[in-house]
Amino acid sequence: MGYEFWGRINQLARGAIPFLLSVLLMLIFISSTGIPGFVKVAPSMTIISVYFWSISRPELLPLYLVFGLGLIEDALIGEPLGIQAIVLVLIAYTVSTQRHFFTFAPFGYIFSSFILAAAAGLGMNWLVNSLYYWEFWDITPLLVKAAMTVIFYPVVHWLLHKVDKNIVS
Amino acid sequence: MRRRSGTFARVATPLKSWFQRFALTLMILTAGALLIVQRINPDGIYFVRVTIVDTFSPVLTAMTTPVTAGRELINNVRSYGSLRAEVLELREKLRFTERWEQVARTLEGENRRLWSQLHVTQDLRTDFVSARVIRDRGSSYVQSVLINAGREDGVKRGQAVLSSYSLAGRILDAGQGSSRVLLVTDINSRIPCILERSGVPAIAVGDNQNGVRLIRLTPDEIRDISLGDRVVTSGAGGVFPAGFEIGIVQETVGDQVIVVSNINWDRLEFATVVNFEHPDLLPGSAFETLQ
Repeated sequence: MGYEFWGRINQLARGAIPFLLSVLLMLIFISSTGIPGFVKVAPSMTIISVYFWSISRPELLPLYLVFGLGLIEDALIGEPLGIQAIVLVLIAYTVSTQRHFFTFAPFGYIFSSFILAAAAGLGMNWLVNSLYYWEFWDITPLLVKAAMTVIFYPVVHWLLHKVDKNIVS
Repeated sequence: MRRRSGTFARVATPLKSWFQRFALTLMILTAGALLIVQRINPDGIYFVRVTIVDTFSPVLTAMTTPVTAGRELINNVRSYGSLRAEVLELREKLRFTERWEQVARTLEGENRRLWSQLHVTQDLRTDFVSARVIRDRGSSYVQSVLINAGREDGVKRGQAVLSSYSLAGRILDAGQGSSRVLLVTDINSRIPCILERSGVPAIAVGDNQNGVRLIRLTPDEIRDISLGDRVVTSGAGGVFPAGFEIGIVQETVGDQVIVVSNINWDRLEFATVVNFEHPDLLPGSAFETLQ
Protein backbone atom coordinates (compact mmCIF):
# COMPACT_ATOMS: atom_id res chain seq x y z
CA MET A 1 0.00 0.00 0.00
CA GLY A 2 2.78 2.35 1.05
CA TYR A 3 4.73 1.99 -2.17
CA GLU A 4 1.62 2.32 -4.33
CA PHE A 5 0.36 5.29 -2.34
CA TRP A 6 3.64 7.23 -2.56
CA GLY A 7 3.97 6.26 -6.19
CA ARG A 8 0.56 7.78 -6.86
CA ILE A 9 1.44 10.96 -4.91
CA ASN A 10 4.69 11.25 -6.87
CA GLN A 11 2.80 10.84 -10.13
CA LEU A 12 0.24 13.48 -9.12
CA ALA A 13 2.95 15.93 -8.09
CA ARG A 14 4.81 15.48 -11.37
CA GLY A 15 1.55 15.86 -13.27
CA ALA A 16 0.80 19.15 -11.50
CA ILE A 17 4.16 20.69 -12.44
CA PRO A 18 3.10 22.21 -15.80
CA PHE A 19 0.16 24.07 -14.22
CA LEU A 20 2.02 25.12 -11.06
CA LEU A 21 5.04 26.28 -13.03
CA SER A 22 2.78 28.28 -15.37
CA VAL A 23 1.18 29.99 -12.35
CA LEU A 24 4.59 30.70 -10.80
CA LEU A 25 6.01 32.22 -14.00
CA MET A 26 2.90 34.38 -14.34
CA LEU A 27 3.15 35.57 -10.71
CA ILE A 28 6.85 36.47 -11.07
CA PHE A 29 6.14 38.69 -14.04
CA ILE A 30 3.00 40.37 -12.70
CA SER A 31 4.24 41.08 -9.17
CA SER A 32 5.68 44.46 -8.28
CA THR A 33 9.16 44.55 -9.87
CA GLY A 34 9.95 48.18 -9.20
CA ILE A 35 11.02 48.68 -12.82
CA PRO A 36 9.14 51.74 -14.12
CA GLY A 37 6.63 50.87 -16.83
CA PHE A 38 7.65 47.20 -16.91
CA VAL A 39 4.18 45.82 -16.15
CA LYS A 40 2.73 47.32 -19.30
CA VAL A 41 5.26 45.63 -21.57
CA ALA A 42 6.15 42.55 -19.49
CA PRO A 43 6.28 39.34 -21.55
CA SER A 44 3.20 37.18 -21.44
CA MET A 45 4.49 34.17 -19.52
CA THR A 46 1.16 32.37 -19.76
CA ILE A 47 1.24 32.42 -23.58
CA ILE A 48 4.81 31.04 -23.54
CA SER A 49 3.97 28.38 -20.97
CA VAL A 50 0.69 27.27 -22.53
CA TYR A 51 2.34 27.08 -25.98
CA PHE A 52 5.23 24.97 -24.64
CA TRP A 53 3.13 22.49 -22.65
CA SER A 54 0.53 22.17 -25.43
CA ILE A 55 3.31 20.85 -27.64
CA SER A 56 5.22 18.73 -25.14
CA ARG A 57 2.53 17.49 -22.72
CA PRO A 58 -1.00 18.61 -23.54
CA GLU A 59 -2.41 15.83 -21.34
CA LEU A 60 -0.88 17.51 -18.25
CA LEU A 61 -2.29 20.94 -19.08
CA PRO A 62 -5.82 20.22 -20.29
CA LEU A 63 -8.11 22.98 -21.56
CA TYR A 64 -9.96 23.45 -18.26
CA LEU A 65 -6.65 24.16 -16.44
CA VAL A 66 -5.63 26.56 -19.22
CA PHE A 67 -9.00 28.27 -18.78
CA GLY A 68 -8.38 28.52 -15.00
CA LEU A 69 -4.91 29.96 -15.63
CA GLY A 70 -6.45 32.63 -17.86
CA LEU A 71 -9.05 33.52 -15.21
CA ILE A 72 -6.35 33.84 -12.54
CA GLU A 73 -4.30 36.14 -14.77
CA ASP A 74 -7.34 38.28 -15.63
CA ALA A 75 -8.26 38.64 -11.95
CA LEU A 76 -4.73 39.56 -10.83
CA ILE A 77 -4.13 42.04 -13.64
CA GLY A 78 -7.55 43.60 -13.10
CA GLU A 79 -8.87 43.01 -16.60
CA PRO A 80 -12.40 41.68 -17.16
CA LEU A 81 -12.56 37.97 -16.29
CA GLY A 82 -12.59 35.80 -19.39
CA ILE A 83 -10.43 37.73 -21.87
CA GLN A 84 -7.10 35.99 -21.27
CA ALA A 85 -8.99 32.73 -20.64
CA ILE A 86 -10.38 32.82 -24.22
CA VAL A 87 -6.96 33.69 -25.66
CA LEU A 88 -5.10 30.91 -23.81
CA VAL A 89 -7.74 28.26 -24.50
CA LEU A 90 -7.64 29.03 -28.22
CA ILE A 91 -3.83 28.89 -28.30
CA ALA A 92 -3.80 25.59 -26.36
CA TYR A 93 -6.46 24.04 -28.58
CA THR A 94 -4.86 25.14 -31.86
CA VAL A 95 -1.34 24.06 -30.86
CA SER A 96 -2.34 20.72 -29.35
CA THR A 97 -4.41 19.75 -32.40
CA GLN A 98 -1.41 20.54 -34.65
CA ARG A 99 1.01 18.83 -32.29
CA HIS A 100 2.16 16.21 -34.81
CA PHE A 101 3.85 19.00 -36.82
CA PHE A 102 5.93 19.99 -33.80
CA THR A 103 6.87 16.62 -32.28
CA PHE A 104 10.21 16.14 -34.03
CA ALA A 105 10.48 19.63 -35.51
CA PRO A 106 13.68 21.69 -35.04
CA PHE A 107 13.62 24.58 -32.55
CA GLY A 108 13.56 27.17 -35.38
CA TYR A 109 10.24 25.80 -36.59
CA ILE A 110 8.73 25.78 -33.08
CA PHE A 111 10.04 29.30 -32.46
CA SER A 112 8.70 30.77 -35.70
CA SER A 113 5.29 29.19 -35.02
CA PHE A 114 5.43 30.70 -31.55
CA ILE A 115 5.89 34.18 -33.05
CA LEU A 116 2.63 33.67 -34.95
CA ALA A 117 0.84 32.27 -31.89
CA ALA A 118 2.03 35.14 -29.63
CA ALA A 119 1.06 37.78 -32.21
CA ALA A 120 -2.37 36.20 -32.67
CA GLY A 121 -2.91 35.80 -28.91
CA LEU A 122 -1.88 39.34 -27.96
CA GLY A 123 -3.75 40.76 -30.93
CA MET A 124 -6.89 38.93 -29.86
CA ASN A 125 -6.47 40.19 -26.29
CA TRP A 126 -6.25 43.77 -27.64
CA LEU A 127 -9.31 43.25 -29.85
CA VAL A 128 -11.51 41.76 -27.10
CA ASN A 129 -10.42 44.52 -24.68
CA SER A 130 -11.20 47.17 -27.30
CA LEU A 131 -14.64 45.68 -27.93
CA TYR A 132 -15.34 45.29 -24.21
CA TYR A 133 -14.49 48.91 -23.38
CA TRP A 134 -15.56 50.18 -26.82
CA GLU A 135 -12.29 52.09 -26.98
CA PHE A 136 -9.50 51.44 -29.47
CA TRP A 137 -6.41 51.34 -27.31
CA ASP A 138 -2.93 52.55 -28.24
CA ILE A 139 -1.19 49.65 -29.97
CA THR A 140 2.42 50.64 -29.09
CA PRO A 141 2.61 48.91 -25.66
CA LEU A 142 1.10 45.82 -27.27
CA LEU A 143 3.86 45.72 -29.91
CA VAL A 144 6.56 46.08 -27.24
CA LYS A 145 4.89 43.37 -25.16
CA ALA A 146 4.78 41.06 -28.20
CA ALA A 147 8.49 41.72 -28.87
CA MET A 148 9.35 41.04 -25.19
CA THR A 149 7.34 37.79 -25.26
CA VAL A 150 9.20 36.63 -28.37
CA ILE A 151 12.60 37.63 -26.90
CA PHE A 152 11.91 35.73 -23.66
CA TYR A 153 10.65 32.59 -25.41
CA PRO A 154 13.97 30.79 -26.09
CA VAL A 155 15.13 31.15 -22.46
CA VAL A 156 11.81 30.02 -20.98
CA HIS A 157 11.58 27.20 -23.55
CA TRP A 158 15.04 25.98 -22.49
CA LEU A 159 14.05 26.14 -18.82
CA LEU A 160 10.72 24.35 -19.32
CA HIS A 161 12.40 21.76 -21.54
CA LYS A 162 14.88 21.00 -18.71
CA VAL A 163 12.02 20.65 -16.22
CA ASP A 164 10.08 18.43 -18.61
CA LYS A 165 13.07 16.20 -19.30
CA ASN A 166 14.41 15.91 -15.76
CA ILE A 167 11.37 16.16 -13.50
CA VAL A 168 8.08 15.59 -15.30
CA SER A 169 9.42 12.62 -17.31
CA MET B 1 -19.97 -3.24 -5.95
CA ARG B 2 -18.60 -4.27 -9.31
CA ARG B 3 -22.04 -3.71 -10.89
CA ARG B 4 -22.20 -0.17 -9.39
CA SER B 5 -18.79 0.75 -10.75
CA GLY B 6 -19.85 -0.64 -14.12
CA THR B 7 -22.97 1.57 -14.05
CA PHE B 8 -20.83 4.57 -13.09
CA ALA B 9 -18.48 3.88 -15.99
CA ARG B 10 -21.44 3.51 -18.39
CA VAL B 11 -22.65 7.00 -17.39
CA ALA B 12 -19.29 8.72 -16.87
CA THR B 13 -17.49 7.57 -20.03
CA PRO B 14 -19.91 9.10 -22.58
CA LEU B 15 -20.19 12.21 -20.38
CA LYS B 16 -16.40 12.56 -20.34
CA SER B 17 -16.11 12.07 -24.09
CA TRP B 18 -18.96 14.55 -24.65
CA PHE B 19 -17.16 17.09 -22.44
CA GLN B 20 -13.86 16.54 -24.29
CA ARG B 21 -15.61 16.97 -27.63
CA PHE B 22 -17.30 20.21 -26.70
CA ALA B 23 -14.72 21.53 -24.18
CA LEU B 24 -13.54 24.36 -26.42
CA THR B 25 -17.07 25.54 -27.26
CA LEU B 26 -18.13 25.28 -23.61
CA MET B 27 -15.18 27.33 -22.39
CA ILE B 28 -15.53 30.04 -25.00
CA LEU B 29 -19.25 30.28 -24.21
CA THR B 30 -18.47 30.45 -20.46
CA ALA B 31 -15.87 33.18 -20.98
CA GLY B 32 -18.27 35.08 -23.26
CA ALA B 33 -21.03 34.79 -20.66
CA LEU B 34 -18.64 36.07 -17.95
CA LEU B 35 -17.73 39.09 -20.09
CA ILE B 36 -21.38 39.89 -20.83
CA VAL B 37 -22.32 39.62 -17.13
CA GLN B 38 -19.44 41.96 -16.17
CA ARG B 39 -20.33 44.42 -18.94
CA ILE B 40 -23.95 44.61 -17.80
CA ASN B 41 -23.18 44.56 -14.09
CA PRO B 42 -19.50 45.12 -13.15
CA ASP B 43 -20.19 43.67 -9.69
CA GLY B 44 -21.89 40.56 -11.09
CA ILE B 45 -19.00 38.21 -10.36
CA TYR B 46 -17.28 40.39 -7.79
CA PHE B 47 -16.75 37.48 -5.38
CA VAL B 48 -14.83 35.43 -8.01
CA ARG B 49 -12.36 38.27 -8.63
CA VAL B 50 -11.92 38.94 -4.92
CA THR B 51 -11.45 35.25 -4.07
CA ILE B 52 -8.75 34.77 -6.73
CA VAL B 53 -6.88 37.92 -5.66
CA ASP B 54 -7.14 36.98 -1.96
CA THR B 55 -5.75 33.51 -2.70
CA PHE B 56 -2.67 34.79 -4.50
CA SER B 57 -1.99 38.02 -2.59
CA PRO B 58 0.22 36.33 0.08
CA VAL B 59 2.46 34.98 -2.73
CA LEU B 60 2.58 38.40 -4.40
CA THR B 61 3.41 40.02 -1.05
CA ALA B 62 6.23 37.52 -0.50
CA MET B 63 7.58 38.17 -4.00
CA THR B 64 7.47 41.94 -3.45
CA THR B 65 9.42 41.82 -0.17
CA PRO B 66 12.92 41.34 -1.69
CA VAL B 67 12.18 44.01 -4.31
CA THR B 68 11.21 46.51 -1.61
CA ALA B 69 14.20 45.53 0.52
CA GLY B 70 16.56 45.96 -2.45
CA ARG B 71 15.06 49.33 -3.28
CA GLU B 72 15.44 50.49 0.32
CA LEU B 73 19.05 49.32 0.36
CA ILE B 74 19.85 51.28 -2.80
CA ASN B 75 18.13 54.37 -1.38
CA ASN B 76 20.08 54.00 1.87
CA VAL B 77 23.40 53.71 0.07
CA ARG B 78 22.54 56.73 -2.07
CA SER B 79 21.46 58.80 0.93
CA TYR B 80 24.76 58.09 2.78
CA GLY B 81 26.58 59.79 -0.09
CA SER B 82 24.58 62.98 0.27
CA LEU B 83 24.13 62.88 4.04
CA ARG B 84 25.51 66.34 4.82
CA ALA B 85 23.53 68.07 2.09
CA GLU B 86 20.37 66.29 3.25
CA VAL B 87 20.89 67.29 6.90
CA LEU B 88 21.27 70.94 5.88
CA GLU B 89 18.17 70.73 3.68
CA LEU B 90 16.17 69.08 6.48
CA ARG B 91 17.26 71.76 8.99
CA GLU B 92 16.09 74.46 6.62
CA LYS B 93 12.78 72.62 6.09
CA LEU B 94 12.37 72.24 9.86
CA ARG B 95 12.79 75.99 10.41
CA PHE B 96 10.24 76.62 7.67
CA THR B 97 7.80 74.04 9.13
CA GLU B 98 8.14 75.49 12.64
CA ARG B 99 7.08 78.89 11.32
CA TRP B 100 4.11 77.26 9.58
CA GLU B 101 3.19 75.33 12.72
CA GLN B 102 2.70 78.63 14.56
CA VAL B 103 0.52 79.96 11.74
CA ALA B 104 -1.46 76.69 11.63
CA ARG B 105 -2.07 76.73 15.39
CA THR B 106 -3.37 80.31 15.22
CA LEU B 107 -5.63 79.48 12.29
CA GLU B 108 -6.87 76.28 13.95
CA GLY B 109 -7.92 78.19 17.07
CA GLU B 110 -9.57 80.90 15.01
CA ASN B 111 -11.32 78.28 12.88
CA ARG B 112 -12.65 76.46 15.96
CA ARG B 113 -14.01 79.71 17.42
CA LEU B 114 -15.75 80.58 14.14
CA TRP B 115 -17.21 77.07 13.84
CA SER B 116 -18.61 77.19 17.34
CA GLN B 117 -20.11 80.63 16.68
CA LEU B 118 -21.81 79.34 13.52
CA HIS B 119 -22.80 76.00 15.19
CA VAL B 120 -21.15 73.99 12.38
CA THR B 121 -20.71 70.28 13.11
CA GLN B 122 -17.44 68.47 12.33
CA ASP B 123 -18.10 67.07 8.85
CA LEU B 124 -15.97 63.95 8.82
CA ARG B 125 -14.56 61.14 10.86
CA THR B 126 -11.39 59.80 9.34
CA ASP B 127 -8.78 57.16 10.04
CA PHE B 128 -6.07 55.65 7.88
CA VAL B 129 -4.76 52.22 6.86
CA SER B 130 -1.31 51.96 5.27
CA ALA B 131 -0.55 49.15 2.83
CA ARG B 132 2.12 47.96 0.45
CA VAL B 133 1.55 47.86 -3.31
CA ILE B 134 1.99 44.23 -4.39
CA ARG B 135 1.13 44.55 -8.04
CA ASP B 136 2.36 47.53 -10.07
CA ARG B 137 0.08 49.78 -12.03
CA GLY B 138 -2.14 48.16 -14.57
CA SER B 139 -1.86 46.76 -18.03
CA SER B 140 -2.34 48.57 -21.32
CA TYR B 141 -6.07 48.64 -20.66
CA VAL B 142 -6.55 49.03 -16.90
CA GLN B 143 -4.92 51.41 -14.43
CA SER B 144 -5.12 49.67 -11.08
CA VAL B 145 -2.84 48.32 -8.35
CA LEU B 146 -3.19 45.62 -5.72
CA ILE B 147 -2.47 46.43 -2.07
CA ASN B 148 -1.99 44.01 0.82
CA ALA B 149 -4.77 45.35 3.07
CA GLY B 150 -8.36 44.22 2.98
CA ARG B 151 -11.60 43.96 4.92
CA GLU B 152 -9.83 42.56 7.98
CA ASP B 153 -7.84 45.82 8.14
CA GLY B 154 -10.97 47.95 7.84
CA VAL B 155 -10.76 48.56 4.09
CA LYS B 156 -14.10 48.93 2.31
CA ARG B 157 -15.15 49.43 -1.28
CA GLY B 158 -15.23 53.04 -2.44
CA GLN B 159 -12.73 54.38 0.10
CA ALA B 160 -10.20 56.97 -1.05
CA VAL B 161 -6.55 55.95 -1.40
CA LEU B 162 -3.71 58.45 -1.00
CA SER B 163 -0.04 58.47 -1.88
CA SER B 164 2.40 61.34 -1.39
CA TYR B 165 -0.50 63.37 0.17
CA SER B 166 -2.38 63.21 -3.16
CA LEU B 167 -5.39 61.19 -4.22
CA ALA B 168 -4.22 57.97 -5.92
CA GLY B 169 -7.62 56.34 -6.46
CA ARG B 170 -10.41 54.45 -4.76
CA ILE B 171 -10.96 50.90 -3.54
CA LEU B 172 -12.63 48.91 -6.32
CA ASP B 173 -12.57 45.41 -4.79
CA ALA B 174 -12.01 44.77 -1.09
CA GLY B 175 -10.97 41.19 -0.33
CA GLN B 176 -10.22 39.68 3.05
CA GLY B 177 -6.51 40.58 3.08
CA SER B 178 -6.01 42.42 -0.22
CA SER B 179 -7.73 45.07 -2.29
CA ARG B 180 -7.69 46.49 -5.78
CA VAL B 181 -7.30 50.25 -6.17
CA LEU B 182 -8.73 51.87 -9.30
CA LEU B 183 -6.33 54.73 -9.97
CA VAL B 184 -7.47 58.24 -10.84
CA THR B 185 -5.66 57.79 -14.17
CA ASP B 186 -7.98 54.95 -15.24
CA ILE B 187 -10.38 55.84 -18.03
CA ASN B 188 -13.33 54.63 -15.91
CA SER B 189 -12.42 56.81 -12.92
CA ARG B 190 -14.72 59.81 -12.29
CA ILE B 191 -13.93 62.07 -9.32
CA PRO B 192 -15.96 65.18 -8.39
CA CYS B 193 -13.44 67.99 -7.91
CA ILE B 194 -13.04 71.74 -7.77
CA LEU B 195 -10.41 74.15 -8.97
CA GLU B 196 -9.14 75.44 -5.64
CA ARG B 197 -8.47 79.06 -6.74
CA SER B 198 -11.80 79.72 -8.44
CA GLY B 199 -13.98 77.14 -6.70
CA VAL B 200 -15.33 75.98 -10.08
CA PRO B 201 -16.62 72.37 -9.89
CA ALA B 202 -15.61 69.74 -12.47
CA ILE B 203 -15.19 65.99 -12.90
CA ALA B 204 -11.69 64.47 -13.11
CA VAL B 205 -11.46 61.62 -15.63
CA GLY B 206 -8.38 59.42 -16.14
CA ASP B 207 -6.63 59.28 -19.52
CA ASN B 208 -5.15 55.76 -19.00
CA GLN B 209 -1.63 57.24 -19.13
CA ASN B 210 -0.19 59.44 -16.38
CA GLY B 211 -2.75 62.21 -16.27
CA VAL B 212 -6.30 63.27 -15.61
CA ARG B 213 -8.64 65.42 -17.76
CA LEU B 214 -11.27 67.78 -16.38
CA ILE B 215 -14.74 67.61 -17.90
CA ARG B 216 -18.05 69.47 -17.34
CA LEU B 217 -16.42 72.90 -17.67
CA THR B 218 -17.86 75.74 -19.76
CA PRO B 219 -15.59 77.61 -22.25
CA ASP B 220 -15.63 80.66 -19.91
CA GLU B 221 -14.55 78.52 -16.97
CA ILE B 222 -11.75 76.99 -19.06
CA ARG B 223 -10.53 80.46 -20.09
CA ASP B 224 -10.35 81.43 -16.42
CA ILE B 225 -8.02 78.51 -15.60
CA SER B 226 -4.32 79.28 -15.09
CA LEU B 227 -1.51 76.80 -15.46
CA GLY B 228 -0.48 75.52 -12.04
CA ASP B 229 -4.01 75.81 -10.56
CA ARG B 230 -4.53 73.19 -7.88
CA VAL B 231 -7.35 70.65 -8.37
CA VAL B 232 -8.77 69.06 -5.21
CA THR B 233 -11.64 66.71 -4.37
CA SER B 234 -14.90 68.56 -3.81
CA GLY B 235 -16.46 66.00 -1.48
CA ALA B 236 -19.63 66.07 -3.62
CA GLY B 237 -21.62 62.87 -3.28
CA GLY B 238 -20.08 62.10 0.12
CA VAL B 239 -17.74 59.45 -1.34
CA PHE B 240 -14.43 61.27 -0.77
CA PRO B 241 -13.54 63.85 1.85
CA ALA B 242 -13.12 67.34 0.40
CA GLY B 243 -9.72 68.90 -0.10
CA PHE B 244 -7.50 65.99 -1.22
CA GLU B 245 -5.18 67.10 -3.99
CA ILE B 246 -5.71 65.41 -7.36
CA GLY B 247 -3.03 67.40 -9.17
CA ILE B 248 -2.19 70.71 -10.79
CA VAL B 249 -3.28 72.02 -14.18
CA GLN B 250 -0.47 71.37 -16.64
CA GLU B 251 -2.03 72.66 -19.86
CA THR B 252 -5.28 73.55 -21.58
CA VAL B 253 -5.67 72.58 -25.22
CA GLY B 254 -9.03 73.73 -26.63
CA ASP B 255 -11.63 72.26 -24.28
CA GLN B 256 -9.13 69.81 -22.79
CA VAL B 257 -7.76 70.62 -19.35
CA ILE B 258 -4.85 68.32 -18.48
CA VAL B 259 -4.03 67.80 -14.81
CA VAL B 260 -0.91 66.01 -13.53
CA SER B 261 -0.55 64.46 -10.12
CA ASN B 262 2.60 64.74 -8.01
CA ILE B 263 2.48 60.95 -7.54
CA ASN B 264 5.24 59.04 -9.30
CA TRP B 265 3.00 56.32 -10.75
CA ASP B 266 5.93 54.10 -11.67
CA ARG B 267 7.23 54.09 -8.10
CA LEU B 268 4.04 53.57 -6.16
CA GLU B 269 5.28 51.45 -3.24
CA PHE B 270 2.91 52.29 -0.39
CA ALA B 271 -0.62 53.61 -0.27
CA THR B 272 -2.84 54.97 2.48
CA VAL B 273 -6.51 54.03 2.54
CA VAL B 274 -8.72 56.72 4.05
CA ASN B 275 -11.57 55.41 6.12
CA PHE B 276 -13.94 58.33 5.81
CA GLU B 277 -17.44 58.34 7.19
CA HIS B 278 -19.82 61.22 6.86
CA PRO B 279 -21.61 61.83 10.19
CA ASP B 280 -24.98 61.98 8.44
CA LEU B 281 -24.45 58.44 7.19
CA LEU B 282 -23.26 57.00 10.50
CA PRO B 283 -25.63 54.68 12.33
CA GLY B 284 -27.50 56.42 15.09
CA SER B 285 -26.81 59.86 13.62
CA ALA B 286 -29.27 62.73 13.67
CA PHE B 287 -30.02 61.99 10.02
CA GLU B 288 -31.00 58.41 10.78
CA THR B 289 -33.06 59.47 13.81
CA LEU B 290 -35.05 61.85 11.61
CA GLN B 291 -35.65 59.02 9.12
